[in-house]
Amino acid sequence: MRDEIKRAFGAVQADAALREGTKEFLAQRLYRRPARRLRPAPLLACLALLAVALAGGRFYYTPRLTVSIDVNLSLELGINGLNRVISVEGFNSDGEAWAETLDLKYKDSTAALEEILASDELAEYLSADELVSIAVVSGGEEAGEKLLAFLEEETAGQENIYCCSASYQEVGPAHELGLSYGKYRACLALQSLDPELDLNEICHMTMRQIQDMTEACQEENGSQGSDSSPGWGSAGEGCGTEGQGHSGGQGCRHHG
Amino acid sequence: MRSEEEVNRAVDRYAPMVRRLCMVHLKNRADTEDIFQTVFLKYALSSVLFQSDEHEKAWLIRVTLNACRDLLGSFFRSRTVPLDQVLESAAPAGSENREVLEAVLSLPPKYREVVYLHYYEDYTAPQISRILHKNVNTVYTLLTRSRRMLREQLGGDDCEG
Repeated sequence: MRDEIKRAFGAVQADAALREGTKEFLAQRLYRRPARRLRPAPLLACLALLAVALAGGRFYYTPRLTVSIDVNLSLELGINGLNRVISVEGFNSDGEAWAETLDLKYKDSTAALEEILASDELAEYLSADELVSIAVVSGGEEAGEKLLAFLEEETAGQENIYCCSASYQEVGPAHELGLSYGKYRACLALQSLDPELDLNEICHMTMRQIQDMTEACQEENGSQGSDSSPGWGSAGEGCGTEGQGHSGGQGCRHHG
Repeated sequence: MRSEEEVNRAVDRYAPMVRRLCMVHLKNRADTEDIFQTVFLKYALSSVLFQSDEHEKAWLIRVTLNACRDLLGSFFRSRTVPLDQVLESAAPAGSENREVLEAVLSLPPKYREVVYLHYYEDYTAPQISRILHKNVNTVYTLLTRSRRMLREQLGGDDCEG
């Protein structure tokens, strides 16, 4: 009877469906994490927040204006749509050294410019009879005009500080050449008077030297009257090249 | 928790035994599936360190029988199914095994367990008493009575353990 019972029970097996069904149940329950269902509302809220943050960051860190300050040193302030300084960048070794010492980032643009105009560095250049060019570069916005008006008011009576405006379109290639917008603008103005001049040569001059050479060219061309302001710009005026005349192919290099 | 590999190994190894224990308790297919899931889920989650294969097997027998009894107490579950239905899936009508299974499964529940464990799994009365948490003398009594009942049904006298 023992053998018969063994044989009878031995014939009872667990079929594959029972075994595999149990394994699948355990795998689902214990070993496989169910795919997490993304809840759309929090996800959309996060995405919206991220989009707002990115858009806000992009808006804040996109310069709407650039103020280019050039003497021998060249320095540029990037200013956003909220009139905050978002970058301070030197374009030559002196400019880089000065940028290191300035704490202007995130300051209001007018406060930052007041600080620069009152700085010892600028006073030192002016006392050495250097010429300081301050160019407000914009895409034609009203903010550019307002900032230029502020600078003109602040520098009124300063004989050797010249303020002007320029457009990004005009001075676009400046940074590719390693020049600040203001310096590039002055170099272009001089080169327009004497096309034979090499831009690489001009760009190593100080603003005073560029001005002297521009005046010499203008005198030689006879196109400029008794105006004592630099040929590439004057206080209260745009620093465009209109009215400056051209050399007509004649060299006017001023060699002291 | 035990690894998936270890649990799958236990399913393959002990599925026939669990299936037979479910049959001893006259479970239908759906309840058998539930018991399989309950037993092997407990096995997977258990932190018991088995000292031997025999220890592991005895643990699974105890857990399976408890699961079968627990299901009996559930109001929503079908308790047992007719013997014919159980036998239909285990042994086709007219087969040699059917008469033996019919004789065992027609015994009262407390006898079925000890018959299966003693005659099929070869456990001794003291071992069965430990697995079922019953007095060993009770197990001896159950075995003696079940032997007498089976002899009456199947005839012969060679079923001494």
